[in-house]
Formats: sequence, structure tokens, C-alpha cells
Amino acid sequence: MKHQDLAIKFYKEKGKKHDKALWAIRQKRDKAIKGVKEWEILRREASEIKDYVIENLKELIDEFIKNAKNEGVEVYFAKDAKEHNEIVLKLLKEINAKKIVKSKSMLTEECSLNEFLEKNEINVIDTDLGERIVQLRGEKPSHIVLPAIHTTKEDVAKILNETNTDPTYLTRKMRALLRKEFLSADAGISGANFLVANKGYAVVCTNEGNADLGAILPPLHIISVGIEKIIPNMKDLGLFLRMLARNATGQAITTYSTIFGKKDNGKRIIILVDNGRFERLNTKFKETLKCIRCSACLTTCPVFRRSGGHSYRYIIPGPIGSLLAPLKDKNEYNDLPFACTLCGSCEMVCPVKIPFSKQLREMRKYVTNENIMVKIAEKSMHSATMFKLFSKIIRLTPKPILEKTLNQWSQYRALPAIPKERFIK
Amino acid sequence: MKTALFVPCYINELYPDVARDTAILLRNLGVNLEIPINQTCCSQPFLNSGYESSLPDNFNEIFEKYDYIISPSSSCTATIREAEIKSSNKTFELVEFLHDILQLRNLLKNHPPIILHNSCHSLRALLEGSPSELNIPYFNKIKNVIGCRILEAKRDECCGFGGIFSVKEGFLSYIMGKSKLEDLLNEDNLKEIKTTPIITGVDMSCLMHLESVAKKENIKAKFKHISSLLLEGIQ
Amino acid sequence: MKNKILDKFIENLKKAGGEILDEIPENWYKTRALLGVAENGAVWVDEYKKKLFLSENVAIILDKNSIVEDMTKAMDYINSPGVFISGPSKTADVESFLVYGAHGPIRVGIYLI
Repeated sequence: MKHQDLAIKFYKEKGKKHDKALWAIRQKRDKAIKGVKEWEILRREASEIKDYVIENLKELIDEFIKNAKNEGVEVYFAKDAKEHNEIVLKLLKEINAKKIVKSKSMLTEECSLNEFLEKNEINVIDTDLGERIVQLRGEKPSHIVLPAIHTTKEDVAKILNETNTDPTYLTRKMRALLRKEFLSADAGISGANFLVANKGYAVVCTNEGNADLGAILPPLHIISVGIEKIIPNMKDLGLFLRMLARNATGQAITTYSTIFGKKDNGKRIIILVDNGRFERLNTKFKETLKCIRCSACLTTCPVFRRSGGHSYRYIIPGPIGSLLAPLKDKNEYNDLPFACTLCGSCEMVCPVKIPFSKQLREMRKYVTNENIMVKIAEKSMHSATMFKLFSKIIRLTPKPILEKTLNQWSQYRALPAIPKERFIK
Repeated sequence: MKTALFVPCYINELYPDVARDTAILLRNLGVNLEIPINQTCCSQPFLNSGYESSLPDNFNEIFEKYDYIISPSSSCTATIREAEIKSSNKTFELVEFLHDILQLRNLLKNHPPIILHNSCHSLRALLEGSPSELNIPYFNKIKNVIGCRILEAKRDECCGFGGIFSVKEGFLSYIMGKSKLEDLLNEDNLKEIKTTPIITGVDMSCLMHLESVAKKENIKAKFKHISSLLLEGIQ
Repeated sequence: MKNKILDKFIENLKKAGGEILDEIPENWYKTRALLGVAENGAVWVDEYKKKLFLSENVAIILDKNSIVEDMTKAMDYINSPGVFISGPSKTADVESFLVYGAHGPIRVGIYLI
């Protein structure tokens, strides 16, 4: 099913509530960013830093690897998802790992790491409460910061076989269940929000503390991260930490922002993953590499709020997902750049100023095949005489045929009446 | 000052009255207005549907000789601006022209309250007002030009028209239109209105969409393009 | 000026669910922060220990004079790995209801010296 059908299904079931919950977060975000008087300057700076990063990615990666190694962290480079998964498996096999605790990482989702490890008989426990909820439901996250935003407390009670639907009760219950997993896991895997090139540090932001427990309890901590997460220095980190949580959920900062260097009681390994990113640098879509995955574009999108994340069918949904998904599979996701009114709200909330409207229009071109009829129509519109002829044809076309042609419109409301005369005759 | 009227193609076809009102309004305000008859389309329908188009070049050939090009549509104006052709920075949405170039204010000072739909391109592409996403002081050029009590929606989000979106995702388009109407006609706004509410805006495309949803939902409201409203006021 | 920064720190700490301790209760895990950040109520702890996350209650000792305005300024003083902590561990994953104590501490108190 394509976006338009999945949207109808989701909206009828949960759309209003979903929209309301996300709009409340959008308002919290507005309030938070309005508390930072220099916010628009920060956006400009953040955008410039990210422009610098994508122009100097190769050099920054080399710098990061050198400094991380000096710090005492092992670094691997994986050219694609397959290579990444194999490195992870090799590392886990070395220590005969049977169970791993994983915290949120869009990169491991992108690489379908869970499925790969499960196939190799390694038990993967997602530890972010939202991700654990969707894992137990046999689903994928529907939002990159709020993975279970599409579920209700009743849904959560159901997967835990509980009748009590009190959120505190359910949260405590999950805490107790997952605490056992943390204490018995052989390794922890997490993503990273930032990599600081001049220090070799990886930075992870969470509210729950699950990434920290996964990093500190088991003897092995693997960080899987996309190469675009690199930033030049600690000063830049300060700037991004001011923006990330405010823009995502309206918090001034996440509860934990951990700067990881060498691991005290074991081994820390960072896997830098390319998976098409270097190639993207040479395309019209290189600006999507600026994304810091704050998720504000999802939360603000009037379509996303009503259609839910799963209607996008890609692990990263919403406006940014509509730019990333077709790059993975042009045919499967050719509907996504059109699941958008080009309202520009995503562009306005984006902390790194990705020019969404332009990129989405470009993506529409990318997924659309040339059409000879459209070409003829476009050419004929260069001439007022031809346009007039076209207008005459429309006026002579019987209404039922027009309605059928525009059935997505007329199914839900009447077509406007066509006046007899034009203005410029 | 050589000034031209650019009539968006859908206005020429579906809303000739809006084009006429815009022309009369500008002329009544003393603008020496020409209406090139060989004009066609800004290319937006093609560009937004994933096709190449050289219509902006065509636009440029027709309009380049003018000092100002005025269009009763923020989305067509935005398309021309973004095309980065010679005419780009000379092309203005009607209210933008009245506000920034003619510096007119309070044209409808004594009118009863009006409901304003801020369209996305007006707000986020042309910055005719302050979008809620940004941390900038509140302003709204349309309100300044009208001057009477203006009521807005609580959320400044999209009405769901979106051109090609409305025919690709008919359901969501309709649902978004419905929630926009509910918001525009929210309780607080209705408290201030005595007769049938008037909903205005700078984009007839949004108003066309909202009007058709209103009809379907049996919602009583009048939809009037800003040019028609302003013209009534100054006559 | 200093007082204003302190007030802001306390206000934002409370917004993040944290508290100011008059004394450090027994059997709370104790650690020391090198830095506080006024704009978000976070403190910088470089003793990255298991108990900091496993304990239900954590007390963090902070020198009043070590509070800076914002994260950008904080970075001037940070030259090692560690963690910024702002209030107790939290989640809103169950139908958007905010709950303290997701995986880490349920209470985090700052003891100012």
C-alpha cells in the first residue's frame, strides 16, 4: 500500500489523537526556542558548521579516526550496511555474545541490524522504552525521537499482559524487566548524536539513561554511527547541544548528554558507516547530510501528524524521510515526496536549514519519469493561444469526465464551477 | 513606474472576478497598470509535479520590461522569486506591493471583524507575516494593510490544498481543510462575529479548497479574495 | 549577576525534574559535578560510574561559583569524557505521559556548596 491509503487507515483509527499529541510537542518546542533570544543566529551558525562538514567530510573523518585511536577507542569503517553488520557480528562472536542491549540508533535501523543479529542467534533487546514497546509489538518505530507515539497506554498494557494502564506503573514495570536485561547482557550497542573530530569523542543524548547503562554495564560497547554525524570541535558541540533537545521536544537539554572516550572497564568500538553517504555528496541531495535527526520536521509536518510514521514505510519518515527513502529505493518510495503540501514548515523548524521545499521538489523530479504528454502540455503553455485552446477544451469537457480525472479531489468535495468567460480572453 | 498585472492561470480560468478586482483596485489606487495579454503560467504545476519547465523564461520575456509585476497569489509569486530570473525580485504578491511599495495601511479600518487565512507561501515563502516556527517578532503585512479587527486560526498550519497534493492525497487534503476551517471558525473567533463569517486570504487556491470543503461540510462562511475585499472598502 | 545565574540554574533544574538538597540523605549515591549550566539546569560529571545510573537516588555536589550561562560557555572548561546530567532519568514513551525514573535515577538532587 502507498502513502495515501495507509494515511486514510491510520487517520481513521488514531489520526486526531496523534495530531494533537505532536502539535503539543511542536508548541513546547516553540516555547523553548523562543526562550533563546539568539535562536535564529544559532540556526545560521549550525547550518554553516554543517555546510563546512559536508564540504570537508573526508578530512574530518581522518581527523576523528586519528584522535579516537589516540584516546583508546577502536574505530572501524564500514562502506555499507552489509559490511557494518558483519563487523558487529564478528565483534560479538569474539566474545561469544548471546544477548545485547541496544539503545536508539537510526543507523542500526537503516542497516536492519536487529534482523541480521537475530538470524545469527544473537538476542537483541531494544532498551529505549518506546523502541522496546514497538519491538514487542513486532513493529518499527514511527517517529525518530518518539518511536511509540502511535501507540496508546492500552497498547502498552496489552504487550505487558497488564490490566493496569497507569503510565507510571507501566514505565516502572518495563524498567524492572529491562534492568535484568542490562545486568545480564554481553554487549551494548548504541548510536551517536555527534562525533567530535578534534577530540575523537562520540556524544550520545538520551532522556532515559539507557545508552549509558548499555555503555557502562557490559564489557563491550559498540557505537554504530553515520559519518555525517561528525562535527569539528567541542565549541560546535556546545552549540548543537543547545539546539537538539529544544528543537526536538522543547526540553532545554536531554537528561543525559554523554561524551564517550575510552571505556574504563572494557572495550569501546566505533563503527563509522558510509552506506551511500559519500556518494550522496555528489548529488543534488547532499544537503540532506546536514540533518542531525532532531525530528522537528516530522513533528511539525501537517501530513505526518495525520498520517503517522508508518505510512512512510521507511525507517526515517516525515519530510526528511521523504528525501532519504527514495534514494534507497526510487520505485518503492516514489509516493513520499508527494505526501507533502510544500507548506515549508519543515524548512522553518530545521536547525541546520536544510532547504526542504527545494529538495522535495527536486526529489519529485527524481522519482518522476518523463512523460511525453506533460512535455507537450508544458510546451503549449508557452503560448497564450495554445493555452486558450486548452481552456476551451476543458470548458467543453463534460463534468463527469472532469470529476473522474480529478477523482481524488471530487471524491471528497465538489469541483469549483468553471465560469463561462476568462479574464484575459 | 511601469507596472504589469500577472494573472495566475487558475485565476484567469476559474476566478476572473478576482483578476478584475485586483486590476480595478490597483488602478483606483493610482497604479498605471498594464495587463500583457500573451501571459500564461508561472510553471508551478509542472515544477511541483516533478517535471522540468522553462515557463519562467517565458514569463521573463513577457514581464522583464516592467518595473513591478503584481500578482494576486503568493504561491505564483514565490515560484517566480525562486526561479531566480531577471523578473524575480520585481515580482510582488498584491498585498506585499501595497504594503512595501505603496506603503498603504488600514484600507478597511472600519470594517467589522474579518477572518484571515494566512497561506503557507505568504507566510513561509514570502514572509508576509511571522511564521510561528521562527523566533522573530510578530508581524503581519496583510493585517496592516486591512487595518480592521483580524481574526486568525490558532495554528498557522497548511490548509491542505498543496496543488498536486489535493489530487494525489484527496483524503488528507480534505481532512486538513476541515481542521483548518474548524480552527478559522473557532469559538473565540465566532464570538466576535455577528453575521456570516468572511474568510479572506491572498491565495484563491487555498480559498477555493476551503470553500469546497465548507460546502461539503455545510459550514456557513463567505470566501473572499483580499482584492475583492479591499476594493469594496475603497469604493 | 552571579545570583541571577544561580536562580536561572535552579529554575531550569526544577523544570528538568531535579531538586535542590538541603542535606545529602543517607544511602543516596554521592558524586561531584565540576560545572553547572544555567540555561538548562545540567551539571557536568566526569566520574562516569555505574552507580550514577543504577542508583534510584543520586546527589550531586556542585560549587555555586561553578555555574556558567550556557552550553557554549561550558565547553570552554571541558576537556575530557563525562556526562551532562539534567534532572532524573525520564520518559514520555507511554502515551506522552512524563514519568521520572525510566532506566536511571528516579530522583536527582543538587547539593550546592
